[in-house]
Formats: sequence, structure tokens, C-alpha cells
Amino acid sequence: MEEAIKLTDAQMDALREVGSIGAGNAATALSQMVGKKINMTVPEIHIVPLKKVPEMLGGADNLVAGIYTRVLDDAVGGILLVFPRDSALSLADMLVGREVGSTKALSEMDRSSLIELGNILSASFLNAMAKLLSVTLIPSVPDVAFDMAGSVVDFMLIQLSNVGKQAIVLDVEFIEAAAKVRGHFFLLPDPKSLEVILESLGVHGGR
Amino acid sequence: MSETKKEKKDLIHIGIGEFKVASSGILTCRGLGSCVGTALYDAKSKIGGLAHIMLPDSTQVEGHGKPTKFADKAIEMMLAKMISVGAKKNFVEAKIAGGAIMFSSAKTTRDIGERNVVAVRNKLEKEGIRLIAEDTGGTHGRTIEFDIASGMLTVKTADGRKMRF
Repeated sequence: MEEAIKLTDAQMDALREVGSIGAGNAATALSQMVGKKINMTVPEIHIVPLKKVPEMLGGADNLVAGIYTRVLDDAVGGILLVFPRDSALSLADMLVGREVGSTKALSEMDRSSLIELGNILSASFLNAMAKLLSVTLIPSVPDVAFDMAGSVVDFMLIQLSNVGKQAIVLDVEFIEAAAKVRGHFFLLPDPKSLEVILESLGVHGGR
Repeated sequence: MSETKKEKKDLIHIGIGEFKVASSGILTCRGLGSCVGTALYDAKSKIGGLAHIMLPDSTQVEGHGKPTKFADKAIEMMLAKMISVGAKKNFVEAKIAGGAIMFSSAKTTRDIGERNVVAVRNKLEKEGIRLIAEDTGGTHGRTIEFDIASGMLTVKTADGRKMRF
């Protein structure tokens, strides 16, 4: 039967650690890429019932940008980054060097920069997680979709529904000067690896 | 459009992995990606049902969640429910939409959209239900609205395209 994901305090701490190390590394890489200081934090980690995921993204037909990275080593299934439309536009502004809030539609250049962002983020988080789990995790080149939230996440919900009823979501926040942009970072473990990850987090996370 | 107000008022949402049967109003699945919206309709009794199908086959996965998320079970159960409220199986016809591939690199789920579509088609054939229209596949999401009064299915995409059949 399906069981609720229950994370111990130690596991939550470990996830937070993965989050903040990943965010730190990603921020450094991003700042180098765009040539100005971008900070990144993981303000919150949620365990969300699968059914509530579209709602969390502003409703199933709300427009979002989804960046999916598959993990080539199968220990983790993949990572899905989701940004509401406005956040994706602001992020593109940040990355391309325009004033945040000036873009109304994404150009090809913006799309590429979001893919690059996906690359950096996935790699940073996977590295942090790999270190914690003492495994090698190699990300694929990300895929991007700009579409309705429901359609962007349903393949993930399908995959997760074989594991349980909830998704683990790390909120990520990008900060450049006065501008803040928030997105959501979903972990998509293959059915068996979720246990492995949580177990490892329990073992290694209690320090 | 004149129907817009009415749509808002009578919109009945079908969540992922669920189905509903109705004799009035508009049933809707918002943001279908790899999922397949399956609409069944008996035009004589004006009874219809809409299922938001997630997975192809209940016999392949065991012990996980509601049977209504699978093509085979959802169609069976929805049909039974329609018949129990007065629909005649002989008159029931089907329209489907969805089954896209949103991320081509999503290895294990890459063909899930296509497999869902095939499973729905097979199940309909097995039940002897005619599939009269479909808009499936591709790489884009869909929101569908199924008007029970007319049996018309409206498919909308994020870029503003709209079709009715």
C-alpha cells in the first residue's frame, strides 16, 4: 500500500543541506555566467500531496516553464524545475541582463538561457546530493516546455504515483539586487530509489 | 462568446486520475499532458462522462492507488456508471484528447502519452464503443471542455488555439 512520506528531522536537515549547498554552488556558477552577483536560497521544503501539485503552481492551466533533467545514472529518476510564467520571464531578464520585469514573451535566446540555468541548477544539486549519498549522479541535457502547469507536471505525477502520494519540493529563490524570483524544484526518484535516498539521508544526515 | 458565462457557471472539474458522469453542465480536464481525457456520450439520453486517465493498464502496476487512474478501469467504471443512470451502451460514442510527449528526454515516461492513447483506443474497441473523434499526441498541453448538452468537446492549447469536435 501507499504510505505517506515521513521525513525525520535528520532527513529534512539533510535535504536542506543538499538544497543550500546546491543553491550555493549554482549561485556561484550563475553569477559567473551572467557576470553579476546572483544569490540563491532554498527558503522552504514541502512534502505536497500529488493532487495538490497543479494547485501549488497556480492551477492546472496556469502557464509555466518546466525544465526537466534526467539523471543518467539511475539512482535518481530526474529533476523537474517549474517556474510560473512571470517568474520565468523575470529569470530570463536576470540571465540575459535586462531589467527584471521588462520581458513579456520569451525569445529563443531566453529559452536557451533557461536551459542553461536548468543545466547549472541540476548539476549543482545533483553534485550536492551525490556527495551526501556517496554516489555518482550525471545529469542529461535538460528539456524545456512552456505550457499549462498540468501538462508540464503530469508525467511526473504519473511517475510519482507509482511510488506514493506525495512529492518532495524544494522552493528555490533567485535574488539579484532588489529582484526576487521563486521556482519549484521537484525530485523524481525512480520507484525504488526513493527509499534508498531517504535511507541514505537518514544515515548520513544525522551528523 | 455567448457560452463563456454559462461555461464558468457549470464547469465541473475532473482531477487527475478521476472521472465524472453528468446529465448537464460542462465537464473539464485542465492541462492534459501525457494524460488522456476520454469523453463518453450517449446522444439519446444526453448522459456523458469524462475521465482524466493517467496510466494505460491496471494489470501492469499493482496495489497503487485508485483504479480510476487506469485506462481500462476508468472506462469500465465510467461506462457502468453511465448505464446505471440511464445511458444505453449501444448509443455511447467516444471522443478523446491528450497523450502528448512534453519532455522527450523523460526516459521511462517518454512514451507514456502514446501508450495511454493506445490503451484507451483498445479498451474502447473491446467495449464496442465507436471512437468518433480525437486530438492526440504532439508536444503540447491541452485543456478540454465537454458540453453535456451537445456532446461537443472543445480542446484549447496554451498558445490560444481552439478546436471543437
